[in-house]
Amino acid sequence: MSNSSSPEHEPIPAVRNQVDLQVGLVGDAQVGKTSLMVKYVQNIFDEEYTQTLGVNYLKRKVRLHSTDIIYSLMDLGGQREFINMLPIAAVGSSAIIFLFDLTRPETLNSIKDWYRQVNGLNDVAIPILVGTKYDLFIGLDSNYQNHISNSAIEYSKIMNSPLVFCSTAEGINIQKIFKIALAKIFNLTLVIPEITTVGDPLLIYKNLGNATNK
Amino acid sequence: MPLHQETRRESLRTLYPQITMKNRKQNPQLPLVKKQDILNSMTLVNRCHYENHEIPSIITKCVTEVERRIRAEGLYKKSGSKLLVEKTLNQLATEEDTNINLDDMAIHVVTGVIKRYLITLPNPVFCFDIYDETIGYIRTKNLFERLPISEIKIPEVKTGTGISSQTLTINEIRGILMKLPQKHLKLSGFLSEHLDKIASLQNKNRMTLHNLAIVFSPCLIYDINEENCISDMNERNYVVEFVLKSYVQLFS
Repeated sequence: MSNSSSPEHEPIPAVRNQVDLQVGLVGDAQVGKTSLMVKYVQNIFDEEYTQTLGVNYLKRKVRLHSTDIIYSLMDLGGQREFINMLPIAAVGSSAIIFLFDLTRPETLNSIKDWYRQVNGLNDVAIPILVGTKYDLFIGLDSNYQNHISNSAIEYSKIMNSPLVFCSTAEGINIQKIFKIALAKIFNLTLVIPEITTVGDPLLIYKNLGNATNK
Repeated sequence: MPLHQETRRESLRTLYPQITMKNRKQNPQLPLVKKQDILNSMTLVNRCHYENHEIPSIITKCVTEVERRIRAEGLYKKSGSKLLVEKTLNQLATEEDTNINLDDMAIHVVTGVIKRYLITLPNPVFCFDIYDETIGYIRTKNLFERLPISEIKIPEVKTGTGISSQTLTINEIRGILMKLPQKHLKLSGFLSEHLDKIASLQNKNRMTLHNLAIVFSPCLIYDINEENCISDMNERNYVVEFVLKSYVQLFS
């Protein structure tokens, strides 16, 4: 107690603003919600077959000029049996990431249901539509790729939601998802170029998810 | 008409007297209930009685199909189309001798039907009656620390003399489960055996007993009001994984 007073030579820490942002991740089982979250926060990709018990939760701090952004990521188990825990991921989130597996069209179809459910709980969060496993997707038939890419673009327009195709295994477009989320939440201008050619890892965000055209 | 359809009708009239016009004329206070609705919301016990089966045919048909395709990746974890799951369950529940063909159906729809049937039962497999006692038991005995699931060894590795903590816990949990109706016990045993088979092929289907317990616990044990569903999640999961691991000892 007696020696707890700080020595004079210690620098006074610069005042930093801190902003807490909650981001929810939803989508069918085995699309890669937990993997994406763990990759973003810990930069680890693990092939292990994990099953989320209810909700997973991780935090990551990023610096933006004089501000610390604290992301709280909430990842909900993809089984319908966990739907009564959806409020944990949806309520209070500033952005909701809707994930589907690019190699399983039915998981894109499920986005309708996830979107409806989330919207019932939180209609102000920025939606972001993310297609996962891009590394496996590019090995598939090009007609299939066209079909899925065009459907996903349609979905993103209807949801007014930025669209990103990513690969957690190969580290494609992971950071960008969260940069887009941040830009949309605070209405900031992003300089990341869009990728709009079907077959490439799509990144379409400029005219989607803006507060003004909501 | 096959004989058992006649028996089914008979038992339906006994279970739900209000569905016959004659009874409703005599007792006008009986509520009007559609047969369709009754069949969709039947308790497990009544369904077994109605079908004259130990295990409802919804379960046995789907389980047979799942075991035929037991190597499919992500059994019970991956989701099938919600619409198809509901439609199929409705058909299986309401149509007598339905000729519905499960072998052409996506396997994740079939597993979805099983989970959906269980979660929509008016009273879950681990009934509301034993909910508080079960969760309370796990909590007060501090089983997460005293007997972590990973330390349960079946068959038991005996160390020292006297009754082990594992055996004691099995006996005590058995004591709680024995309060369940007999059909509920039967179904618990049947499902445990089925899930054990799946886990034994986890190098193919990637489903460990632990993963299976996580997806099944919300289907098998939940409270009458949903308030505690999140705070009791770990306890619910513990009890389901415990049962899946030691079902032979529990139900023998």
